[in-house]
Amino acid sequence: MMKTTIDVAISAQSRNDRIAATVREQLRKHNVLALNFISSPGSGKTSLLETMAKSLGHSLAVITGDIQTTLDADRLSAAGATAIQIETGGSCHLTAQQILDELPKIDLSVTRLLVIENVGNLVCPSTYDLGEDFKIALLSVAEGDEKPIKYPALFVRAKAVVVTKTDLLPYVNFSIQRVRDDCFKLNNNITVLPISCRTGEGVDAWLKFVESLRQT
Amino acid sequence: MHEYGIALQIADLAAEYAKGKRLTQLSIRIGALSGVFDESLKMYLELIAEERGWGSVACTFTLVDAMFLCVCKKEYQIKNMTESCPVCHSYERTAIDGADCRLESIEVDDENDH
Repeated sequence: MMKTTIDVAISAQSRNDRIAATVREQLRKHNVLALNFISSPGSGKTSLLETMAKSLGHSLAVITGDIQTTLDADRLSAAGATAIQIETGGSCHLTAQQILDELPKIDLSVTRLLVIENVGNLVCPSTYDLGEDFKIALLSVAEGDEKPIKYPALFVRAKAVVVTKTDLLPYVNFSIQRVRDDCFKLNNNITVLPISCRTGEGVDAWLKFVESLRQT
Repeated sequence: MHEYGIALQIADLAAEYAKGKRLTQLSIRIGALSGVFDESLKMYLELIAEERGWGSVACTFTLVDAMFLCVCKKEYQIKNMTESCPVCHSYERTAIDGADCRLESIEVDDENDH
């Protein structure tokens, strides 16, 4: 049998990345800042977005991914955001194609901020470009402060870590300083922002931080 | 589990470059920061090869550590992401290799189409 080796040297993500570039181009044409929220299930992504929706209204659009149900989009629509639900049916992360497919449902002329609320998963979504400007990691104080070094693929790529549910700090062993120290080792451009949607602590600082990303 | 989506992309790339010839081997390079697990990728590639009627296709993997360029200009590889620059001990660095999963090359059977 005669065999030939053919060089390829192309990233396995190249097709996804090309589609992500198309998403990015469409969003930038309308001056829409795009964030990709990545965290474990139950870290508080939807609660943070509900809180943001109360200030931002329809200038906030959310594409939210879950295995099943429209519960998150329903909550966010009720809070005043434009919310689109993707039910993946089993896939553990969103892809750029899925985002591109949903963009026509959003009026980009009134949208200032698009947040992609990824499927709850600290691993798989980390390496997929969805056309966002920045990845934002969320980590609740109930999850353990060692998670950044256990799951580096996300934290080396994130622009910020939102430490959520800080109202629970008196009841858990969690050091925000440890998260700062470990995140700095992984990515010294990362900002750590503690927040409680329940008490409102840190919400203003988070909204100011998001606004500052437009200048970046 | 996301290795399935990556396996599909690799399979499509391989088919494109094979131009109808029968595939006999895929050589894949996996960077430590890519989040791809070689055993899972191999499993899904074998499933896809079977689904597409490709017959037996060998998969070889090269695992590559993350390589960084430090602010002091030192290039270094690390296995543990919390290690600092061996020269200046800084964490100010840019990843220059090991962030992706790549189809490096394919081998085809010249005499037979699949």
